Amino acid sequence: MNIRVCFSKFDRLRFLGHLDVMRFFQRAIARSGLPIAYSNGFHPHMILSFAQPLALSMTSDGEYFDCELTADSVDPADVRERLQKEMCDGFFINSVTVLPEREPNTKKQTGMSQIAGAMYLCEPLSGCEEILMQSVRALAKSKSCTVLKQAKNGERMVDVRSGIHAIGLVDESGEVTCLSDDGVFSVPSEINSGWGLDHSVHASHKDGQARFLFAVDAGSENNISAELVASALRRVAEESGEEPLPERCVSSHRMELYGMKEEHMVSLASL
Amino acid sequence: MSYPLALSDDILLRVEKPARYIGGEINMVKKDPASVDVRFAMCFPDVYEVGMSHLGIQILYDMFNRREDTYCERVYSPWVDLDKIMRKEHIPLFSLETQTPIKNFDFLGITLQYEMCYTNVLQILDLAGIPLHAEDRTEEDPIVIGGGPCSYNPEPIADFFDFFYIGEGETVYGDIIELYKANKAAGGGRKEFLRQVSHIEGMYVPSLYNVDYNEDGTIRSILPIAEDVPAKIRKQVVKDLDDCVYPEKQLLPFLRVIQDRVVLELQRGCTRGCRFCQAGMIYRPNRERSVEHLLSMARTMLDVTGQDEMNLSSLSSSDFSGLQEFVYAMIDECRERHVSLSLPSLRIDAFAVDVMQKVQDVNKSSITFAPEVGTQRMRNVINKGLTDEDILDGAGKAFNAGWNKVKLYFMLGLPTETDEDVKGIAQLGNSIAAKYYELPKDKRHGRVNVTISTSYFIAKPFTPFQWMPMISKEHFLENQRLLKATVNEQLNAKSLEYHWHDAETSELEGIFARGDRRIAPAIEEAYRAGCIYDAWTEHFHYNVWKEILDRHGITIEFYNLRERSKDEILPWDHIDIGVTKEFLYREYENAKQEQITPNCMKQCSGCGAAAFGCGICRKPRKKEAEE
Repeated sequence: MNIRVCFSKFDRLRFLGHLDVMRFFQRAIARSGLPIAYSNGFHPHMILSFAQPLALSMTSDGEYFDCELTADSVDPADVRERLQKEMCDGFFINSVTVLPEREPNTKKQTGMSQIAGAMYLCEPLSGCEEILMQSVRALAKSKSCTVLKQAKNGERMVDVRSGIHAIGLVDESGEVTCLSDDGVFSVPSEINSGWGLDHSVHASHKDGQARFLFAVDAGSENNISAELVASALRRVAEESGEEPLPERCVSSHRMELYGMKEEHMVSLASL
Repeated sequence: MSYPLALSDDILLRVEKPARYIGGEINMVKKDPASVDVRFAMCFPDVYEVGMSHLGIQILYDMFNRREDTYCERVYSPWVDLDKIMRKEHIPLFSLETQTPIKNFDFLGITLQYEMCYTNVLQILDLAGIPLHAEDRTEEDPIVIGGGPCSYNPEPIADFFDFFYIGEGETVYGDIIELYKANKAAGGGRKEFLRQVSHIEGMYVPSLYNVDYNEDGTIRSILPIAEDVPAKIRKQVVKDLDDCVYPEKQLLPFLRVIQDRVVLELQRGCTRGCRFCQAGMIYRPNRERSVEHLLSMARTMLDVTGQDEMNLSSLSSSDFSGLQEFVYAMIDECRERHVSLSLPSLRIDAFAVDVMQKVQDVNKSSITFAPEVGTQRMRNVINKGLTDEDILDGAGKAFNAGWNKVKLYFMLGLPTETDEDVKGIAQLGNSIAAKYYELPKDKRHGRVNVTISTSYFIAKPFTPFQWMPMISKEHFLENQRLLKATVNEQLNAKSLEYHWHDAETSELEGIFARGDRRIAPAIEEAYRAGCIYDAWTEHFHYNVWKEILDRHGITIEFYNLRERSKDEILPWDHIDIGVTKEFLYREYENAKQEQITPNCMKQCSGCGAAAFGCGICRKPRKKEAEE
C-alpha cells in the first residue's frame, strides 16, 4: 500500500537542501520502524518519492512525499505519530493519508507527477516594501509579464503572468483581498494558524507589514516558481521606472501544493 | 529551545552548503547555557563534513553532556567562503548548538588529527577573537586545550595552547572540570588553574616548561620551571573499553559527511608494530572490546540514527579476535535492516572472501592490500608481517570468488630504500595481475585492474623511524618516475595503473611532525599570509610556505633530511607514551639489520606499554612452538 505524507519545513531547516531533506526522511523512517518497502537489487533502497524541491531559505507547509509500505493496512494517525516522534525542530508532520489502490494496468501516479499548482505567501524584505507592493498591484492588473527562465536545458522566455491564477493582498489581521482570481484555486479569505503558519517564518512577521499571496501553475509542464514570480515583480518595478529591486526582495513561504481534480485545484493531501 | 542563527539569511544564501552552520541535527544535545557551570566548545579544525565524521568528538561530546554541570557544543572551521565574510563583517566564530560566540565559553578543546590543520587552529582562535598566543590571553578568554594524535608532539604549536591533553579523553576530563569549578569558586584565575592542571597525569602545560637549544640547533634541555611541575607527562589510557562511555546517541548530520555511517570501534591499538606507524605505538597497548558489548552498541546505534551503513573501525581489524563471531552475528541482522556493513581492509583469507561475498557487490567493489613496500627485504625493515605469498594467495582467492579489481597501497622514501625496492613495487603489481590470468578463461571477468598508489614516507615521533632521515622531494620525484617507467615495462602493464600522492604537503608535514617550538612563528606568519586549509590540495600554497620557512631559517635539511643521533634530545622527549625510547631505538637498530620483531600476540617484546597493566599485555600469548 502507498501513503502520502505532508510535512512542514521551517526555522533553521529552511537552509537544508532537497537531497539532505530526502536523506533525513530515509533515516527517520528507518528509526520509526515503519514497514517501508524496499526496491530489489544488490543495493535496495526505500521506495520513496518526493514532490517538488523547495528553494533554499523558503519555509513551507506543503511538502510531500509518497512511500510504499509492506503492510496491508495502517492507521494514518498512528503513522503520523510515529514519524512525528522522529522529527527535529524545523520539521513537522502535518498529515498522513492512505492513497487509493492503483487500478490494474495503469501507470503509477506519484505526488510529483500529480502536481499542478502551488500557493505562496510572501513578505517583502525590509527596504523593498513600498516598491514591491506597488509591483504586486501592477502585476495583478497586467495581462502578461515575460521573464527569462533558467532551466536545466537552457534559458527561455516565459510569460509568468499567464501562469498566475490568483493574486491577493494579506493585511495585518490576515484578511485576504483578491486583486485577481480566475477561480481555479480556492483562495482562502483569511490566513491564520489553520495554515500551519505557527511553524513558519511568517508566524513572527513584522507588525503592520503587508504581505501578499499568489497561486500558480506548478509541476513538470509549466512550473512557475516563487523565484520566477519575484523576477516578474522586479521586471514590473523596472518597467514602471522605479528603483531596481534587489535580487532578494521577498521571503516566501509555500502554503500548499495542489493537484487538478475536475478543473479545480485541490491539495495533494486530499486529491 | 531554538536559538536565532548567528548568520543572516543573506550570508547563509551566499555561502556554499549553509547547513554546515545551522546545527539542529538529530541527537544534538539541548541545554540552557545559563543552567550549567561550565561551557565547553569542542572543535575539529576542518570543514563540517570532515569534522562531523570524527568518532572521537562524538565520544567526548556525549561524555561531557552526560554531566549536568557542563554543556558541550561543537564548532568547525568556517569554509573559505564564509571565512572571508566573517572577517569583513566582523562576525565572531559561534557554536552550532546555541549559535553563541566561542569567546564566551570556559573551554575551547581542539582535536589535532593531522599536522596540516595547524593554520586552521589559528583561524579558529582568530575568528573567535581569542589571542593566538596563550601568554596574551586574559581571564576573559576560554582555556584552549589541544588533544588527539598531534598532541604527542605538540611543540610546533605549543605557543598557541594553554594545555594539551595527552592520551585518551575518556579518563580525566571529569577531574579537569571539577578542578576548574573549584578554582573559580576559590577566586583563582587562569594561571592558578593551569598550574593545578599540570598536576593531573597526562596534562601538558607548555608555558610551564623551558626549552634550551645547542649551537647546532638541537635541543639542550626541556625542563619544567618549578619542582611541582612533572618532568615527564604520561599519556592517559582507558584500561577497559567495555567499561567506558560510548555515544549511543550519535549525532546524525543533515549533510552528507565523509563518514556518513555508524562507526563502531572494535578495539584500540595494534599488535603489529610496523616501524613507520605512529598510531601503532601511541595507542599501545592493544585493547579489544567484547563481542557482546559490540553487538549491543551496534544495535543501539542503528536504532537511534537510522543509518543505512555501518563501518567497523580499528587499526587492524583482521587482528581483532572476535571479528568472525561479530561479523557472522551481525551480517544477517544488517541485511534484514537494509544496512550495509562495510569492512575495513582485511587480510584476505577464507573468512574474508566469504564475508566480502555476502556484503559487497563483487562486480563493483575492489579488494585492497597495503603491502607498503615492494620487496621482502623492505618489509623486514618496516616490520610489516606480510609476505608476497600472503598477498598473492589472498588475491588468488579473491579472483577465484569473482573480483577483478585490486588496490595496492605503497610508501616511497622509506629508510634504506634502493632502486630495486622501488622496482619491486611494479613487479609485485605485475605478479598479482599474472595471478589473475592463471585462472581458466571462463572463470575470468574481463581484464584485471590493479591500481598502485604511492605516498611519501613521513618520519613521525614515537616510531622507530623517528631518528631516520626522510628523502628529499627531488629524490622522491625520481623514485616516482622510476616506478612509473618500471610499471610500463611490465608484461601486464596494460592491467596496471599508477597513482601518486603529491610531495609538497608531505615535506611540510615532515617538518611539523618532528618540529620544535621554533616552528611556531612560521606557522603564524603563514596564517597571516592567508594560508588556511593546508590539508586541502587546492588551498595549499607551497611557495608561500617555502618562502616563509626560508625566512625563518627552518630548513628541510635540519628537520627532514638528517639522521638524528642516539643521544639527541628529541622535542617530544618529555612526553611519555609508555613505549620507551630504548625500545624504539632497539627497533630502529632491528630495522637497519632487517630483523623482524614478533607481533604482540605471539610474544611480548618489552616495549614498555605493559606498565599500563591492561589489554594484550595481560593476556597469555601463544607459544612460538604452536605457530
